[in-house]
This record gives sequence, structure tokens and C-alpha cells, in this order.
Amino acid sequence: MHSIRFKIIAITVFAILMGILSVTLASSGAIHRENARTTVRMMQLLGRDTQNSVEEYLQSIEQAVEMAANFAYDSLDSVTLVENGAAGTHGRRSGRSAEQTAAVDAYLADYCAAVRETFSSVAGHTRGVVTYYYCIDTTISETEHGFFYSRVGKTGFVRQPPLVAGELDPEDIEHTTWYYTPIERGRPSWVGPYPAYFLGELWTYSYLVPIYKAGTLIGVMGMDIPFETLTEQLREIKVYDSGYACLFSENGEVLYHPMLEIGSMPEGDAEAFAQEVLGRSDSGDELSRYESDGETWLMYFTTLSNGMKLTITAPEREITASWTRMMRNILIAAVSIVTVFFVVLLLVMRILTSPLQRLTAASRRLADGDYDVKLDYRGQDEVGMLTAAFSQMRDRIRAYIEDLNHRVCTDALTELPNIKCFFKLAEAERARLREAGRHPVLLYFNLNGMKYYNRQYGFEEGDRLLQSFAALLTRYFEPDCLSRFGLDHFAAISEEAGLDERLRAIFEECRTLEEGRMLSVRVGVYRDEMEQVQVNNACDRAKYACDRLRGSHTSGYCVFDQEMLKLIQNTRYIIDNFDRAMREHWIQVYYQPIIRAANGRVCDEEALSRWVDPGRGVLPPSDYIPILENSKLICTHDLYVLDQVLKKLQAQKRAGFQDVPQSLNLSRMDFDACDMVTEVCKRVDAAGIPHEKLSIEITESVIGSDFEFMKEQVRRFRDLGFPVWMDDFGSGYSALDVLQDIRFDLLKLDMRFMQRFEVSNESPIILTEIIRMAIALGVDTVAEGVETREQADFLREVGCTKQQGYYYCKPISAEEIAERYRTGKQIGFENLKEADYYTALGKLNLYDLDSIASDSGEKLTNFFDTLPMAVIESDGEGIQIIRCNRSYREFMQRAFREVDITKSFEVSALKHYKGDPFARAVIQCEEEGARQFIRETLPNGAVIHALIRHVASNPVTGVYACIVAVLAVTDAGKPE
Amino acid sequence: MRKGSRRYKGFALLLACLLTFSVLSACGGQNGSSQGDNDVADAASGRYLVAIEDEPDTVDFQSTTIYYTVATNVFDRLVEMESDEDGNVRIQPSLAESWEVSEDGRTYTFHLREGVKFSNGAPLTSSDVLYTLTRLLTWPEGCNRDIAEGIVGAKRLERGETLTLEGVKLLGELDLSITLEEPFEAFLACISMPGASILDGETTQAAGELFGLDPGCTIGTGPFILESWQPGVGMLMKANPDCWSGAPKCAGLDLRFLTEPEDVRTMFENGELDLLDLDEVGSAAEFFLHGDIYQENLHHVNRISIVYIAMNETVKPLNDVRVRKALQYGLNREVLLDAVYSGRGAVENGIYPRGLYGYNPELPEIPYDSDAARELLAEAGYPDGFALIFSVKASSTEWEMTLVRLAVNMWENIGVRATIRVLDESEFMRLRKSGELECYTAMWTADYNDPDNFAYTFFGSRVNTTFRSICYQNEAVMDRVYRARAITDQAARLREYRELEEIIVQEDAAWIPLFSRLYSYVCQDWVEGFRSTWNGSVKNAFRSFSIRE
Repeated sequence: MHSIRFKIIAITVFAILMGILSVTLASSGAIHRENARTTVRMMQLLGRDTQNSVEEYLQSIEQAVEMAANFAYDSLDSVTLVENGAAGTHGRRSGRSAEQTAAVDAYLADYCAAVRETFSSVAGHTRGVVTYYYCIDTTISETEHGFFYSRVGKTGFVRQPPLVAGELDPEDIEHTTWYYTPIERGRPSWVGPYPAYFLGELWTYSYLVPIYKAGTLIGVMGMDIPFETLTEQLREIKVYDSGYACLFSENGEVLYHPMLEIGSMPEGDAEAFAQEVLGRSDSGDELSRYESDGETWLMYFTTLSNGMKLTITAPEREITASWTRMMRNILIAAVSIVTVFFVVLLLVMRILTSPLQRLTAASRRLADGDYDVKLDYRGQDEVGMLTAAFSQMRDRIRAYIEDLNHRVCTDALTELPNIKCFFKLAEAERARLREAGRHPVLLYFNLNGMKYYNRQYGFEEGDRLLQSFAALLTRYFEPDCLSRFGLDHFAAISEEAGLDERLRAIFEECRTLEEGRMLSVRVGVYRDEMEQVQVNNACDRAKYACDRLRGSHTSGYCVFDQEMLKLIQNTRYIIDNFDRAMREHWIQVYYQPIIRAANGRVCDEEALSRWVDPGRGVLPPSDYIPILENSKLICTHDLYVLDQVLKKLQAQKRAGFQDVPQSLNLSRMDFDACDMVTEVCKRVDAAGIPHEKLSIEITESVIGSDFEFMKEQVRRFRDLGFPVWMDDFGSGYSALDVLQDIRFDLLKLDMRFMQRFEVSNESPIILTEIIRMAIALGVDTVAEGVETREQADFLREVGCTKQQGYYYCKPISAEEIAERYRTGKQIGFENLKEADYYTALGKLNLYDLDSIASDSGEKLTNFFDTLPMAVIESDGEGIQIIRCNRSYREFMQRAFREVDITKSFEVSALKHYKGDPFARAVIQCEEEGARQFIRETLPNGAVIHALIRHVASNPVTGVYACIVAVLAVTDAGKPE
Repeated sequence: MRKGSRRYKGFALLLACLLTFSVLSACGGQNGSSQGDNDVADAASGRYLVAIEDEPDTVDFQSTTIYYTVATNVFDRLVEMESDEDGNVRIQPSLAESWEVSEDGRTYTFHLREGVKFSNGAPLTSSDVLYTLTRLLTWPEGCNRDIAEGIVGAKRLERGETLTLEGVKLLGELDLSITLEEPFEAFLACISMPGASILDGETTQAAGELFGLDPGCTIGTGPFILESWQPGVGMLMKANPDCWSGAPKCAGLDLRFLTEPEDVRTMFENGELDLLDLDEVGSAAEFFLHGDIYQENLHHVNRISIVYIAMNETVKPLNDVRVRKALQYGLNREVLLDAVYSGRGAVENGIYPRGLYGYNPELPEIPYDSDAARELLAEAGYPDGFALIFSVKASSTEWEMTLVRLAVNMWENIGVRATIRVLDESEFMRLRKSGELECYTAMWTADYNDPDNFAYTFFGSRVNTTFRSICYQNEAVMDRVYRARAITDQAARLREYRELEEIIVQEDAAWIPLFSRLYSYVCQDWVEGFRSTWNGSVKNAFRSFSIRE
């Protein structure tokens, strides 16, 4: 990952490099070509210039001579020559006469004089001439030889004796070339250079024109120039460092060469070079090349009009030197450009990308959650706009996040920190307080009866109350140290000092809050000092303390103490070890027998669990059942118990023991955890136990919380044939309307009634009325916690058919039951066949006339309660008063002082009564199966009016039971 | 980032394109130049022969008597006159493969060669011949009518009395007969003249006045095709590869219109000129003649021609035969030949030059006798001589000018004060043709090998003699000249011509014969196949020239 800057720099530098490279490659070729072309052009230019200048010079000589020659030609009278036999074929054929010769000589003398004059004039105006002459051929004239002028010093041309053609020896080429060469060539031409004998062997170059007239050679005209003047121009030429110009004759002789002698033939390297030159007329568009001195030389050459070869040559190394230099400069420039560009680019990129980088850094910090990152680039470019947009985005995100944080951390209703946020704040506050050496406390507030408040005033009012309470709290605690956990739960952290005062002040203020509708507050306090736990744990403990105040309707606070800690720890222990407890059978099921009051036999057994902890000993259900209920484990527990119960029943069945129905306690929580009806039914069926053998106990209070649901569950149990008992009837806020809607098979009276039996006057009354109501409703009753005989008697009297308590038996294990059964200590189980019988008996309320009237359907409304009534049993021989009410006992004592009615007595014992109507009535009642109204006169004279009704017959023993109500007693002595 | 990298790719692509372009353009430059060189090289192959030419006013050979280069190189005639190995001149078949002459010598039946095509692809037919002859007689500018005038009905056609040439009968596609009014011995020679070249009837008729001016419609059957004609510069003729007589040996002719001797000489010395007629370079010709280096490439050609001086008999005092005779005697013709032409040639005394059929070596010499001349002048009443205007064409060669100057100088010795008047070509021709020139010099080259070509041209009729500004007055002689054409007996005819020659030159002194000349040519080393025609014309033999690469 490279930064954009790196990429742009890399790409740009690459592009420039490539650009320079391509330009260099392309230009090096082009420059090389151009250089070569330029060199060619330069050499050609130089060559042509030199050529021109040389030719111009030569031409000036040529023109001068030809001008003179034209004059010489034109002014020559051919007719004279012909006529005098000096020219043409005509005269010569016949030979010349002396006159003719003389005439020609004379003519020529004049002619030469004229030509001399003209030629002198021409030569005088021509540059660089050393000699000029006209040499008349000897065949024309023996006497007239023409003229000869040469330049002497600065004085100008001086006439010299003419050169005599006749004296020239054609064999002596060196000295006569000037004369014979033009004649041979047959045209005006340059001759030489040659060392002219007439000029002191000076290297001379001559332009000579042969003059013909009438087909005859008249003579040769010429001009000489020192060859030096020609080569001077060449000597000045310098090409590059060591290049030079040179001149060769047509046949390759050196005419001028800086290193070679004039007139010599080139040798060695120069020979190859000369060959190249002589081969062609010029070098054309390209330069010729040749090797010399181990170097390549480039050469321009051309042929002058006089046939000379002019060459200009230079070493290639020097020619290409400029190219090499240029290439080097280009490379240096390239490197400098790239360097400069790199630096400039770096700077520019830094300027351009620094805001980008800052933006990148900012975005990275933003990504890390730092929304305070600074974005201060204010450029008007894209980056500036980007930065602006970015900063806007950052602001918006920050706003959102703050808002979100606020929402997340704040309770919307009260604007107090919420639970999550509070934990952090509290943690900090706690640390701060600890550091300050103070003692932090965590407080948990809970409003009492908020639910009812809401129900009463509506939720809006409820919310307002919460807001007011929050506002109240903020007056006593720092807002950051406060939190609403939800509903009506608040928490706070504070220091311990002055806590009590503050809380009391709060409680005080609460009274007047919201127009006095304010509810009371319960507060849990956890002192940090106690144990330094995490804040949420501390809150938990405070809440725990607070919850200890549940049920209280006044404001108050509770400090979490060691006991609570223990409880909590206990709870934890229970939950943690529950599985193990079941697995290792720490949880054991005990059974407490329920005794039928009518016959004193065991008619039911209630299954109760106990936690027999190997370390803690036996834990009563109250120690762990609520915990299991709270932790939703109760379902498991109850089903466990069920399983144990079913096992026991199966075992008993196998053992052939008499068995009675077992009652199983179900918690409200069980129904939340699973479909308890199905579960129970499934297990019972699986165990092959009849449904009526299992009674379901459901606490009365839990029904009220979800009435319809529980009603349904009860119905389902009952429909399946499971008797359903209402447990703890009369405790808490039980409402009687439950009974109106839900059909129970039995009501189990709360233990507290029995506990308060001896100390309270109300308790027996309530009990009596409840039982009477239950009888009226046709529902059995069981009283729990029966511990004394009085209690048992009372209960029997008021029609409580079953009793349970230590008076009879404490809960015992299944093994114990078996043991007791074996040893005969067992109370003895009720024969189930007799159950209906006893049930019918038990249901008789001796304080209720319905007991006697129920079958009749008559309405007896004007009987009072205290009619003496008794249930008697008769086997036909004797009568036994099974139970009776207080007024009956008083009656009996009044009537039969000697009879202890608490014991059964033989009817015969009463036979001392004459006619004994009572006994007869009983028998009659049994026999006739109907209500008997009897009137009997007692021995003391009192007349008794009694009503007797057959209640039930025991199918096993054949005894039958009647209820007797003494309607009226008239004393013998007193009228009624 | 993605988006960025794509942009870099684009940038890299652009860079690559630029690089490629620069490399390509660098290469392209080189390719372009080398291609150009190749083109030049291709065009250079098959070089044209470069020669100097006088610029013609027209190349319509029916309308000129001077300019025949196009006629002889681009066109063909029915018959051709050629010299055999012995130097005897014979009539050879050309477009006419064969012919028969009727016994009375009046009817010629020609059988045209098969498969001959004009350069435009049109085949040669007998009607082309008829068209040629008809046009020869009827073309308003025509000046070679004498060729066809002997044909039956020619005069009537000329006069516009008829539209057809009665004497010509088309016998078939390639056969025709020509009937003459009376027998004419030189008829075949006559129709071998350049002026009798055969035209492509259709093209020429369509061309109208453009024929002879526009190369596109100057279409012939000859070895060259007229390609272009740039006035003042020159003309180009390219080889006709499909010519019936075979393609020429060179790729074409590049004829330059140059008059300055210096330019011509420089051009030749620079190798830019392949063939040099030394007449073109003036006095410099001496250098070529004498210089050793040219000797191998120097060619001398005897031309059947005569240099003469014409004297107008209608101009005083030239109307006096004594004056004319005095002028004849007053010229030392041998000296003139020597002084001007270095003696290269031969002094002539008659009309028919050496080499021509009928040349008479027995003619009495016209002597150089200034005394006799002076006497004759005195006799004629000009003891102190007289003034004379000697007209010269501006385009004359240096030699011609020298000749005139020397002649004038010689006449001065006898008291004749001749003034040289230089006239431009057209004015000169106008005056000459209308018979108004007093005196001039000229040269006549034989068009066909018969004395008739000379006698009839100058003295055959009043028209002819006036046309030459000779204005010969001897009607009897002229009549005889005309009639001589029909003399069938060769010996008698020859005799008649010689007689007439003597009368005209010796007795009537109607012109001054000077000399026949030896012509000199220099070729470049690379020129091969130098040849001249029977009459010594090199221009007419261009087809045999070739250039060695």
C-alpha cells in the first residue's frame, strides 16, 4: 500500500523519464542525422564557397584572357591571312611568296600592337596576374612573336622579350606545357601548376587560349597567376580542429595539401583518399569516408571547372563530438529536469496531499472513535471541499453518537443515567470516594405499590410521579450518581456520611410529593465497606436489601448485612448445587400423613422435599424452594419429587401395602416452565398409577396472579381425574371469589390459623366459617399444623374432615413409613372403600343445620347455630357418638350427667330410658333411610325434640351414621 | 483507490501512444526521403538524346520548307530515299511496300504496307494518303504544293474548282493509284520529301489548325512521338516502340532551342548535350576541330547542299546582268571558304551541288577577277559602284555572318558598297517570300536526289522564283525548267538540266553559287550510331542514335 503521493510521484517521474527517454532516443537519432546533415551541408557549403571563390578568381582570369582572345580573334583579318597564304588551304597549297610573308609580318605587327594594348588594359584590371602574353605561332610569322609582360615588384607589368614559339621544344614538356597543352586540348584551358622557368621556377598556373583563324593556329594567348594565391584560400580553411582543405589535379597530383609537397603523388593513406576523390566528380549528397591515421575521416570533394579536385576533410570523431557533447548535455539536462521535477513534485505533492493526509489521519482517528479530531484545512479545492464535507460528517456523526450515547446512557423519562451507564459512572464515583477516604454506599430505591398507583391514576401520572421522584433524588445526590434502572427502581451511589439524614429527608419529602399521592419508598443500602464487589453486584445487594422491605407500606431503608449476604450466598449455593443435589439424592422426599378426623386413619400423604446437605445438614423447603422458584428451577424440582412419589407408590403397590393418595405441591412457576398438566399426566400414566392417587396442591395466592390461566390448569387436572387442592387457603390476600370460579376438591387451611388458634378468638371462628363454607360448597378441608388435641377436637367438631400436623405425625421418609408400617406404629391407613363414608361424615358441620337438612331440600332458616348436634354411629346394637358440638355436649351433660359422651356408649346403656326414642329413631333412621323427627322425654322430665337423619353407611363394617340435632328441649318443670 | 488506478492506466496508455508516435514519426521521416530517391532513379533510366534544334514556327511540314525534323522523325513517307553502300541514292519502299508505274509513266499504283499504325493506334489506309495529298494542295498555308501539283486534277483542286483529287484512286484499303498529268521522272523522289509525309487523316482533319502546333494531334507513323513542345525551351519526342519499322535506339529526343554559341558550347563541355553541330558554336568550332581530345568523336558529313547568294533581278541595279556578273567575279569564293570554313567544303559553280544527281563537274569556273568586275560595273554604268543591301537573318550562324562580312568586304574592292541588314526570322521570310529581299545568302539542301529539286524550286516558275526573292525574269528558261520534269529520257533530261544550269548561272548570272560544305559534328563519348541520311542530314537520322549508359 503506497500513498497517493508516492504513486503520483512515481508515475509522474516515470512519465517524465519515459518522456525524456523517448525524446532523447528520438532526438538522438534526429540530432545525429541532423548533425550528419549539418556537417554535410557545412562541408558542402564550405566546399562550394571555396569552390566559388576559387572559380570566381579563375573565372576572372579566364574572362580577362578570353576577352583579350576574342579581341585577338575578331581583329584578325582572316582574308588577309588567307590571301597571303598564312591561313586556309587555298594559299598554302601554293606556298607563300616573300611579299605575302612580308605582308603577313607587317599585318601581324600592327595586329599584335593592337592586341597588346587591349590585353595590357585587361590585365591591368585583373587581380593576381603575374604575366600575360601572346605568342604568335612560328608557322604564321617568322618575325612577329607576339608579346610578353610580367609583373616586376610594385612597378607593374614590364614588357619582356616575347617568348618565341619556334624556340620551344615540344619534347621539353615541363617548359613548354603552357604552349602545347592548350593546342592539344584545342580549347582555352588552364595549364599547370608548373614551375615556370620564365618566372624563376615559381609554381605558376596559366590560363591559355589558342587563337585559330581560318582553320589555322595563329598563336596562344595566356595569363599566369602564382599558384600560391589560389592555395592561400585553402590554407585558411580549418574544419573542426584538424580538418583541412586540399587540392588535387585531375590526375591525382597534389596541388595543395597541408602535409604534402606540391606536385607529389599521394602515398599511403592519402593515396586511398586520392583514389576516392579521383573516382568520382563529387561527393554528392553524402560525405565520403576513408581511413587515415587510424581514424575515420569524412570528406567533401568537388571538381572545379578546370578539373581540379577540391576536397575538404575532417575526422569523424571531431564531427560527431558536437553530437556527443549534445547528447551528454541532454542527459545532464534530463537528470537535472528529473531531479528538479522530483523535488518540485515532492513539494507540490506535499502541499496537495498534506490536507489529504491530515484528512486520512483524521478519518483514522474518527474510525477509532475520536470525534474531536481537528479538521482545519480550509482550501477551496476538492480536498478543501472534502475536508469540509468530512468535518460536517464528523459533526453529524458526533451529534448522532452523542445523541445515541445520551439515549443509551440516559433514561428517557427521568433524564437520569440508565443502568448501563450508571455502572460506569458509579464505578468511577466509587473509586473517587474511596480515594477521598470516604465510604461509598450504593442505594437502591423502590417505590411501593407503583403498580397500583398506575392502575389508579394512569400511566401518565405514574410517569410524572417517577419524574418527580427523580427530581427529588437529584436534590440529594449528584445526577451522575443516580440512575433509574427501570420501572420504579432507582439506584444511587453516595458516601455513607449523612446518609440516614438524607434518606429521612427524602422520605419526608416523599410525603408531599405529587399532591400527597406519593407512595412510600423502600431503600436498600449496600455499604462498600462490607465487601468490595463490582458495582452491579453491589447494586444487586442493595436491591436485595431493598427487597427485604417488600410488603412494607412505609418508607424505610434496609442496610445489607451479613445475614443477607449469607442468604444470598445460600441462594447461590442452592442454585449451584441443585443438580448435584438431585443427582446425589440430597433432595429427599418426605411424606406427612393426613389423618381423617372421622376415623383417625391416614387418608392422604403430602409429599414434601428436604435438602439433606452433606455439609449443611437438613435444609427445610423454605430455605430452597423460593430460591428454586426464583431461579426457575422449581419445575425440575417438582417433577423430581413427582418421580419419587410415583416410585414410592409403585414400590408400595409392589409391596402390597395399603396406599393412600399422595399430594404433590406445585408452584406457580411450574406452569410457566412447562405444560405441567401434560408432564404430570404423562409421568403418572407412565408409572401406571391411577390419577386419583395423586392430588395436586396449588397455593391459593399464585392463582390470583393469573386467574384465567390457573383456572384452566386446574380444570385440566380435574378433568383428567387428578384431585386439585388449594394450598394455604386463607393466607395473604386471598380472595374468596376464586372459589366462585374454580372448582377445587379440597381446601388446605393455612397453618397460621392453627398457630394462632390458642391465642386468638378470631381464629376458631374464621376456621369454623371457612370450613362451613367449604362444606356448603361440597369441598373437603384439611387443616395444617395441628399440634394439640384441642385443635384436633375443634376441627373435628367444625367438620374439618382431614388434619395434618405434628399432633399426628411429622413428615417421614418412605422408608420410615415402611418401617413404621412394619412395626405397627403406623397410624393405619384408611380403607379407601370407607373413604366416601368418612368423607360424608366429615363434611357434617355440627354447627350448621344444613347438615341435617341438606337432603331434605327444605329450607330451615330459623335455626341458630347452637342447636345441639351430634353424629352418631350405630351398628344396630350400640350407639356411639362420633362427634358432637359444644351445645350437644352441654345438653348431654345436662341430660345424662353420668354419660361420657366423648366415648362411645352402648345404646343399651341408654336403655334405661323408657322407650328410648332416640335409639329407636336411630335404628329406624337406618332402617327407613330417612329423616326421623323424634320426641323423647327424658327421665328428668325434659322433653326433647330432635331430628335425626341418616348420613351414610359404612360398606365395610356395616355401621351406619346419623346426625342428630336437638331441636328443642323443654324442661320438665318449666314450660317451653 | 480503484478509480485512481484506472486513471493512471489511462495516463500510461497515453504515454505509450506518445512514445509510439514519436518513434513512428522518426522512422517515417527516413522512409519518405528514401522513397523519393527511388523515384528519381526510375525516371533516369532510358535517357533521351539531347541535341540543339532551331525553334520552328510550325512543324506542319506542308506549311514549311525549312523545318523538317518532326516530319522526318515523327512521320513516314510512302517511299524513302536512301543511299546504298556505294553511295548511290535509291528510292526505297517505306509505307508503300511496293508500287508499279504505268507504261506511260503517269500512273503510280502503290501497295501500302500491312499493319502500319499511327501512334494513336489508327491503322494506315489508302485514304490517309489521299487525305495527305488533298491537304497538301488545299491547306491555305501550304508551301509544298509542288510535290502534288503534277497529279491529275491538282490544279483544279487547288483553285477550288473541285473538292476531290481526281488523279488519286483508292483501290482498296491499302492500295491506291496516283495519276499524273504528265510523266514526272522525279515523282517518287518528290514524294520521298519530308513535305510529303503521310498524315493520319482523321486526326489531322479533326485537329485543323492545331496540327503542327499541338503535339497531341501531331500524329504520325514514325519512330518518335511528339511528346511536348515548350516554346523557347525545346521539344520532347519519345520513342514509338510500336513503330512498324522498329523502335528507335534511344528512348527519345530532347531537342533544345538554344542559339547562343557560348551556351551551346558550355552545355556540350558539361556533358549536357549529346550531339553538337559545330555550326552552333561559332568560332569555338575551331577548338573542337583542332583539339586532340575531340578527334575521335568528330564526324564530318558531306551534305548535298549548296551555299548561294541570291540577287533580286527586280531590284536595280541587280536587274542588269552585267552587275550580277560583276558581283559573281568580285568574290574570291575559295578565300571565303578558307577564311570562313577553313576550306572544309568545295567551291561550286552551278546550281546542283556535288553528290546530287545531275551534278556537272564540267561547268566552267566562275573566276575571281576584280578587274573584270570593275569593268563590267563600269559597262553597266556603275564605275563608282553602287550601294546594296545584304539581308541577313538574325538567327544566322557566326560563320554565316563572317561569310557575309567577308563577301561584303570583297565586293567593296570592286566598288559595291553593300550594307548588311540584319532581319529577324519572320521579317526576313516575309520579305523573301514576297520577293522583296535585294540580296541574301542561304543554303539549299537536296530534298530529293534530282536536279528538279533545285531547278524547279528556284527557277521553276514565277511563283517559285519570287518566293525565293530571286525574281528570275527569263520566262523561257522557267518554262523549260517546268517542262524538264516530264522528260522521260534520262539523258535528255539531264542534258536539259545542265543546259539550263549553265544558262541560269553563267549566262544570266541569276545567282552566285558559293560552295557546298563539309558539316562537322561532335558527339559525346557515350553516343553511338552516328549516321546521316543520303543528303547528309543528321537530324533526319536520329532514330539510329543510341546512348550508352
